[in-house]
Amino acid sequence: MSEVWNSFSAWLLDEARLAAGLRVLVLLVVGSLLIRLVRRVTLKAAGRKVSEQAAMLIYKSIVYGGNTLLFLMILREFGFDLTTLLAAAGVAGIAIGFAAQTSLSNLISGVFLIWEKPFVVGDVVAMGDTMGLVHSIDLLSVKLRTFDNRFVRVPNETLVKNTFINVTRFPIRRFDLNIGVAYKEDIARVMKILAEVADRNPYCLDEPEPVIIFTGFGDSSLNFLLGAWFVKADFLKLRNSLSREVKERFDQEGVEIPFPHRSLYVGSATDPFPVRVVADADESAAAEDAAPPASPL
Amino acid sequence: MESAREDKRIWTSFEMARGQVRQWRIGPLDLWVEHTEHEWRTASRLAPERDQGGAEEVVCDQLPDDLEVRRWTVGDTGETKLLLRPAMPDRPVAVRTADPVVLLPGSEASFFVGVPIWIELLIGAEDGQKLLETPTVVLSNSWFGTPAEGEVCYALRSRARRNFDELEDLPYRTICPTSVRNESSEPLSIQRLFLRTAPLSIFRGDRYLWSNAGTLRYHGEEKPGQIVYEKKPPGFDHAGAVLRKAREPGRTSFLAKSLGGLKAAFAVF
Repeated sequence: MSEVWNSFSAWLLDEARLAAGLRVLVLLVVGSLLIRLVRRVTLKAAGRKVSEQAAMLIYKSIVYGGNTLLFLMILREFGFDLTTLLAAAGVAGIAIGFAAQTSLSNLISGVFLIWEKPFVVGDVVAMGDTMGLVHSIDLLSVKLRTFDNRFVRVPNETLVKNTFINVTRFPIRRFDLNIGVAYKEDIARVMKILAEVADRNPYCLDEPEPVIIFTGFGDSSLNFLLGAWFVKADFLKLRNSLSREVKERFDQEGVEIPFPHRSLYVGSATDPFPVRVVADADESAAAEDAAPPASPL
Repeated sequence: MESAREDKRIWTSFEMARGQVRQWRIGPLDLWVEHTEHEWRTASRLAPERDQGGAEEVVCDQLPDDLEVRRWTVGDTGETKLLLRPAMPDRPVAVRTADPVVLLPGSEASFFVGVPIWIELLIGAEDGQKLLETPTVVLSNSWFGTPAEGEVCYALRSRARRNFDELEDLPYRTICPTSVRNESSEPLSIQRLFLRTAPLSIFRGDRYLWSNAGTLRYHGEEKPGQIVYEKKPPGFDHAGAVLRKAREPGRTSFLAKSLGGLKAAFAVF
């Protein structure tokens, strides 16, 4: 027992080994402090210049990169041959790369998204049938919260490959209201009424001016477009109030909003529609009773 | 039942015993305040169709039933005074000039803009707790900038005039005297004025409410313009006593260069 202890003590107290242990300890302490310092200084220097997502990417790069480097340096101190280790890591990397192609694609797409910054957390994004608030932008996927409070995960690769709309990128937007009025109405008068409604609506910006266009002759109506600019936060208020005010004003002015008309013809548009009146059974019987008996032949 | 209080004496402290109700009518705005045992209650109504009229106290003994009443619990401070004072709008305003004006190089033009006031209610004196701040007129939104970048502001229906006597005599408006000096080598066309309200104080005049004057020195599209706000009351209508200090006092500011491209339509304060 004492021999084992003696040999272990001799191994432990070996001068070279002690020196290596001490170096590892110093490496651990100094390295950890250095990683923390670099992380703090970099994030402070970046400050508000970078987005939340880019700051997260910088943070993770410094922490993971720094710790990997520190780990390799410690292995080297313990006498490991790093060339062999790195070669093995290279082979393993290729294998993992093949196995996790999709994840890597998403990861790289995530870096592109963070770099390009097509949206930030809080923007409203529409993609296909999905529309929602950007909840988080992560390295593999973007999380959306829909307006009916559902959670949608969109892989970053999908966002990089496909077209999407950032609805709230710019501070003001235009709401397009399509309106149809009866053919008997005066086009100039309708356009004037629409301009007045837009002018009186407090959520409708007077600059840029509202767009009022006569868009054409529809199946049952004269069609107009009222494009009202608004501050993006006022979307619902403008949409509801403008539609209501247009209807109210049309009612006041006697402007008819038509519903689709159908004309039925029998063979020719100019001939009158033939109508045959058929009395019901009781009335027929009563009429027969009241009638004089038929004279015998 | 209108009281005999004159327009210009409405901007003062009122004694309000517990259980008392007061009502003020300031242009289209009706404002009620009730002081109860532990709280202040307020209600307001805007009547856009009533765009004329003065600023006066109306005899009243109870809050209206058909309005939403806001309650302000303030604890047992024993304070029975209520300060009613005017304030500038909480956003900048954009106003069209009565006619397009072209300033030749080296020339200067003065404009007078009637800006609808906001009303502030404070418990006690100037530095008291603010109960509420409400507009006297519903103003439409407007935008200063490009569709991609800019600032939201209010649009005024009235026009900027070259002479303040041409303005409508409305007690719920503050007249803002503004000047534009063209120090560039090109003519400057002005169709709209964009007025920042935050650096403007409100002063009491004999007939009107006034703000401090602002002067824009325009140096050209590519150079930043300089805006100087006076601290003293303007030299019109014996304007003197300060009714409301500026939200963000500032004497001088510089226009961003990027806004220079909008100079044809706007002068910016």
